[in-house]
Amino acid sequence: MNFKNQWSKLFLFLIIAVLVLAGCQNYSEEAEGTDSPEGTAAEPNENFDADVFNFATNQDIPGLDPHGSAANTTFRVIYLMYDRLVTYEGSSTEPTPMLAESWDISENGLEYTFHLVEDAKFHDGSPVTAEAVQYSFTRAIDVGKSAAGIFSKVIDKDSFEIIDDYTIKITLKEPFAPFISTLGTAFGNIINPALEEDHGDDLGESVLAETEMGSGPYVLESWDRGETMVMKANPDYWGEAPTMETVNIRFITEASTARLMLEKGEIDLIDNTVISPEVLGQMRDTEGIEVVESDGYQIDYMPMNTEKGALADVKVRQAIAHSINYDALLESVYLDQAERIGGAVPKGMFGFSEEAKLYEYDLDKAKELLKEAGHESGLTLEIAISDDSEVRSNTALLLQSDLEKVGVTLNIKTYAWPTFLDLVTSGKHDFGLVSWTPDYPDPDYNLWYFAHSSSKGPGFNLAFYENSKVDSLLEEARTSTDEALREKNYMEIQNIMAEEVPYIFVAQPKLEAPMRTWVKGYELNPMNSWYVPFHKITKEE
Amino acid sequence: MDALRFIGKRLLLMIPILIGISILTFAISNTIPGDPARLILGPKATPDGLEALREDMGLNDPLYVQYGRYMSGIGQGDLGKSTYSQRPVVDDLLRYSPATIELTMFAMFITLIIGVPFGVISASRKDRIADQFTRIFALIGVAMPAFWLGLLLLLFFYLKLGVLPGSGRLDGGMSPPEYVTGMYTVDALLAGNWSVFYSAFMHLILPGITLAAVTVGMITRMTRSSMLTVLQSDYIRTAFAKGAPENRVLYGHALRNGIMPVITLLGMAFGHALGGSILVEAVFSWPGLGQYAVNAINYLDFPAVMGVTMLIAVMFIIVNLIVDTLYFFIDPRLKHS
Repeated sequence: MNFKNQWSKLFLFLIIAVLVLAGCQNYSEEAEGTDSPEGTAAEPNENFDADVFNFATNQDIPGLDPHGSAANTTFRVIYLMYDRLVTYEGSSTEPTPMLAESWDISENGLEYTFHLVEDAKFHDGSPVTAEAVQYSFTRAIDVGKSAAGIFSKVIDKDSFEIIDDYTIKITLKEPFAPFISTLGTAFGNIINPALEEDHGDDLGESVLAETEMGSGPYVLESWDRGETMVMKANPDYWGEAPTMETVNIRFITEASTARLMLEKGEIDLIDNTVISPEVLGQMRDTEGIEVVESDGYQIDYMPMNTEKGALADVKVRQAIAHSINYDALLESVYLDQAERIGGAVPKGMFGFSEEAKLYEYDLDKAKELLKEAGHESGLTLEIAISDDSEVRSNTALLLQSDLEKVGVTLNIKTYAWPTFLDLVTSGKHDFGLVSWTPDYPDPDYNLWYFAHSSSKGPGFNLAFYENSKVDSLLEEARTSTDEALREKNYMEIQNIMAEEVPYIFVAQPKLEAPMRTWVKGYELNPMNSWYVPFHKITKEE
Repeated sequence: MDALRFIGKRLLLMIPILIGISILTFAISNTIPGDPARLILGPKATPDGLEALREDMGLNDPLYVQYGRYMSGIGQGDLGKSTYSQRPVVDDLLRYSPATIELTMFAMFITLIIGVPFGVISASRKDRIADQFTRIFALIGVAMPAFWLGLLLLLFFYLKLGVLPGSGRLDGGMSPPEYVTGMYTVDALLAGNWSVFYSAFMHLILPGITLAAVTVGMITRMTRSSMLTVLQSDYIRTAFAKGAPENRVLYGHALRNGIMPVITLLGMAFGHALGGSILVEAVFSWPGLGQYAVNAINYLDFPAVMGVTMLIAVMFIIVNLIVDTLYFFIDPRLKHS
């Protein structure tokens, strides 16, 4: 190797090094938004189009069947292609009239009579009648999937009585206080009964996997699976005319790519679950981009398996609750965009308990409790997490170092979602970490799933918690129409649970979604965080 | 005739290979802990509903019964129904695979037109600056994670320069050409729609380069080392000595002999690119088989997982068959042996 060659090698190496460094430099400038000359907001952006909304999500849409799907990405689009008897508007979690103008509830809380609007039409022009309502709920139960899980508790095929074309009476099997709330979920969407002709051998499931048969403000225009779904405003919509002419739901799998496209203005809004809190922090300062925030009903919690090993002892569970440095967790993992709560009902919702005990971070107390439980020599436990969330894996790491201080060795086991689900619902875990958002704003939702003994395992009582007092309080509250009694019961349940700590409610995070500043009128719904009211949003440059 | 007999034999051999692959995939995917019915129904499902769905999906039968049912379906061209999309797996494969094939073919095209000449230049200018440059280039290509390279390219060509599109297969608002092959560039050409062709082609460039980076590196290095051996042979020295032009010696004489191992590697590289497309597809939101496979695995969608595996296996076998057949035409010695 001669002299010249060595120099040329060095020269090449330097060029490459400089190029790589230059690339990094530009990127961080852009990311931090420091006076970059080509800032996109100052000058008119070529990608701006006031009539077209581009929404990015990383979750593909499995299908469009309101009764067969439990995916948030499906809810988002079918909520706008269909109408419901009642709905949740904007950031409200109170059901408001939609297809049902008004309704009467009988004294005993069993009979609901709905009066429908008379000008609503399905996308094929046929009117939305009482028959469609009956058809939809009957099909929901027959299909037997997610929607049936909500409705079949209280209604069956014989629950309906069509009084006239626009009046229907639904009689419940037993009183169910949150009934009206459930009708506003995406499961309560009203389907065109014309589907019956295409039922085939699967109740039309394969038809609704690909298309919609609704009456909502948007119609499905086209759908390139895995790439883009296009919705067009329904020109004959019976309600307020939709503002946005075209909505493109674009699947951008990689969060970094979605971020670049937002910076470029090709995307107007990114799904609130895509970007991690840390990156959101960086995006806050980028020109032309705004991070919208809202309180959320999501709770991140840690079930402790009360039927397995050391955790069966309440003292051990209390010790664990005392050994977590909650403030540090909220600060370092959630970047202070979250609050701590004591019970399973999120703050802001009916039934939230101010009093539910918040365990203090107290290592001495924790050690003492462990000693009383006979574990002074230490303890080894496992926490199961799924591999799809940075927040959860960071939380697990922090818990690991916290528990180390009281002599508990915490092994973190990360699984793919299906495996994780199987593990925690079959009770093979010690701890788990889960995020949960209710589908309707009633404490019955969270508490029944978390605490009723009939929900153990597959029903999502992941602590396998059982307390007969809690069971009877839950049953009484579910079937009562007396709000005061219900509230009292839910408070009591949360107090009992705070004492027995089957769960630690680590955080109630804020919802945050990054969008272009030109988007006006978008608010996150605390409960239906997937809901984007495209029909009410405008874009103004 | 020899070539035909050879191809026929290889096609017959495909059957036991595919059966082997199907057994392996079926066994492995079914040993993953997790219940597909539970995933479909979510936490709100009733236990009765869960049991009914399990029965309906045939999950309660012993594994060999499920496998037998699957294979008899395949015999009739039925790959089952995807539990995730509720559509026949065949339809899903027809929808997603052309995107992957188009991307992979484009990457292989880049690999050929860059990798081989680079290798030849590198060998003929051994240890000179052109050689150093191509060697470093090839090394970077092989060593750099596709994921990272993809993001860098996006940052530069999409965000900074704004000359190339960022994601997907077509510009927003453009509708795909009529489905013939499913490959947008080809379909657009067939339909004579130039604006769609242009958009589809522009969308191919960044993912294509990203996917090709590794294979270009592989091919450059292989071409270089193979050419170095050939260039030392007597007949090359003779050719140079009698004054033949350099390019004619390099590409006419030397490459002809040096290309054999490169062609073998091309078959391998194709398989590599098919596998690598999963990551590249994620970065560029390319709606291909990779994305579909990842979804299928996350939802324990066994029919879809099986479908994807079988399809990729068939593609891999066919490409290698083509490669082996090429030997007959390139290497005359095989015809006579």
